[in-house]
Amino acid sequence: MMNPKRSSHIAPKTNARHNGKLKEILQSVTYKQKCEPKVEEPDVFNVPVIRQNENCNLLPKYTSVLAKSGEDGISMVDLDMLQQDLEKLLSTSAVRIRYLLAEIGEIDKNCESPEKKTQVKTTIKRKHIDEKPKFKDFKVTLPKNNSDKFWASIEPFCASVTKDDMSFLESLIQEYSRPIDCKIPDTDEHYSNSWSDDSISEDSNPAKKKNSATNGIRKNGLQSLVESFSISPTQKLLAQLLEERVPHYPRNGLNGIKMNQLKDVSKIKTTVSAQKYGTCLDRRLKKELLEQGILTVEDLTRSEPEDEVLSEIKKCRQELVAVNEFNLAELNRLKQATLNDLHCNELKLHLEKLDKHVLDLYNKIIVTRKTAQQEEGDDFDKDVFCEQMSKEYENEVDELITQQLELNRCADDLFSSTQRIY
Amino acid sequence: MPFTADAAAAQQVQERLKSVQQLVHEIEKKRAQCELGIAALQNYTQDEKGGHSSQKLKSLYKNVIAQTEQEEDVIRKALLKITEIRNIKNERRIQARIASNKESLRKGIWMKMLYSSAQTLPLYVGKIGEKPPPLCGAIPADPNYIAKVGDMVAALAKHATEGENWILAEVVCYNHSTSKYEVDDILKEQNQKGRHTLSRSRVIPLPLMRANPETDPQALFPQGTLVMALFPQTTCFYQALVNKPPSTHMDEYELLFEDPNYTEGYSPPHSVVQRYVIACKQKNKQAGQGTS
Repeated sequence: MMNPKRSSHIAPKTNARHNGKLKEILQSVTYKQKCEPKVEEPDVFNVPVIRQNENCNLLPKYTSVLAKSGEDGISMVDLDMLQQDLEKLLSTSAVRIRYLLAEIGEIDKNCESPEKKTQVKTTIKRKHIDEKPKFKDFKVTLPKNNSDKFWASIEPFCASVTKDDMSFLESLIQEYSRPIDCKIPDTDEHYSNSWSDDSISEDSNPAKKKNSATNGIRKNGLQSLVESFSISPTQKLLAQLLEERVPHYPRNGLNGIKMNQLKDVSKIKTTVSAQKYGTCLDRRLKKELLEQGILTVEDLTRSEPEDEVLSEIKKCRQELVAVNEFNLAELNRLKQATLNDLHCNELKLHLEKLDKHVLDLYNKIIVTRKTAQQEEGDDFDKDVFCEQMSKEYENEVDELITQQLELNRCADDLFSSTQRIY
Repeated sequence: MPFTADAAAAQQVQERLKSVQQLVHEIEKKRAQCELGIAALQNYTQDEKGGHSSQKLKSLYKNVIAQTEQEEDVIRKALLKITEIRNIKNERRIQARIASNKESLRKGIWMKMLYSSAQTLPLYVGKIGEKPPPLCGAIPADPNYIAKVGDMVAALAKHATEGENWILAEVVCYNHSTSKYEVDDILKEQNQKGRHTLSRSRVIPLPLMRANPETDPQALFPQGTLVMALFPQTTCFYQALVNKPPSTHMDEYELLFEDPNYTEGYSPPHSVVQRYVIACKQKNKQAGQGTS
């Protein structure tokens, strides 16, 4: 194997190329380190270290560099040897770290068994302490039944709209849109009026006695009668009339007696039926005044007192009508929304069906492709078959997908319209 | 004196030399602390023999570890500075070579330089749990690694008279389009016929770092491995068996070269530095046989 080139390079071979001292030093270090594992027990006296008092022997260049003052510096010539010394230091410290770590591992191993026991004990204790409150917390924060109840209560509000809901709504609307037929009956005649009517009819069938009696009342008990009149304008009118006419009455004997008689009668009658006479007179007066053209119908109605009860009733009724109108409008809106929702639901169902169809088709395509590939035969045929199949399916898929899109669009529109309603 | 690249490099080197010196002083301080820590550890075990608490002992151990880590840190810094100095020097050498300033060195001096450059190759001392990087000791380069200009390689070069040989060479350049290296034989007189242009498979980059046997023995070729190594005092690689791997960072491989002149087929043990021992390619064997 030896070839000429090598021999041309070869100089006298010397094995002792090293500095003898250096080798010795190196060997001393290695010897020390190799001894370490043999020593039993954690041995702190064989920690690999180059002591500072060994610097001169083991690290000659390093020592000389240390001795040099800052001005002198290191020359390039020193560098090789210094590097070796530093490498020796580095290697020793790296080995030391490994040695110390191994020692610590040894200590841990020795102490492992007793430490483990104590650790286990403490962990058990801790577990007991920790678990209890945890369990309690769990019970408080997550009651299972309540959540179920809650969801059950929510459920009807979240369920989709059905036709039943729709019919219910429709019935409601029908009910509300019926006209309110609570007619307020016209105020019937006051009982006093019916009495006065009676008295008027009596007047029209004159009986002399009665007539005279009434006349007597008119002539003698006028003052008390005037007082008994309920309506102030009538009172005034009567009062004025009396002032004007009474003085003209001839105070003859007959009249005087009659007057006295009347007084007695009036004493009885005014207390019992003053009201009756009052209203009766009221009406007669009105009648008379209207006939004579002094007062018009309008004037009379104007002067009539307002019917408070009726107005109150009317007011309430108006309010009710307004509320009803509002409710009706709301119900109609709701109806629109539910109609939309119903339509939406239908669309969704349709979409789901379509989705299923698409998936089925996809599976079919895959299966056919696989079978086509597995089937033996000419490659060309296979490809053509695949193409045909895929074209057919593609058309179908296209159709389905366009339908899907359309439905989706409709659903979106409906949804947005429902949102607009509210 | 004009401010040349050389002068700039010289200044950079001087700066680094100074910082190395400072770092050496710092290392000494750290070492003192470490010794104190170790002394404390020893005292503790002496005082309380038999009845010492493991906790206390552990904390003392950890203390020493922390101190050692600090020491290690500073040493690494100092060594990094030295590597930087070497890189600056090497850069200048490559520049000079490009400028074809002929280094008229005698062969003997060359051999010495090759040896010392191998000895001063940076030492890789792995930290705990760290894997040695490629091109550290026996760890090969990544498959697509490309050697840098000025890097030392083993190159399978053709010779008109001597056939093919794995020679020690230096990368001149790498052509990415052709995937070929241009390399110079390390011996100038061999380059008279021009540079070698070789494909990547014919070029093996040499280690860029030495592995530390004390911390990273996995980055060394174990005993009995067939390797390629530079035969002492030559610039050619030959096959050899590892007789004994290095045991310290300054130690060398003990190799038995294949040599039919001996009855066993192997030479007596020769020492070869880590840098010039590389993994053996199966192909090479055939190539070597072909030429013999």
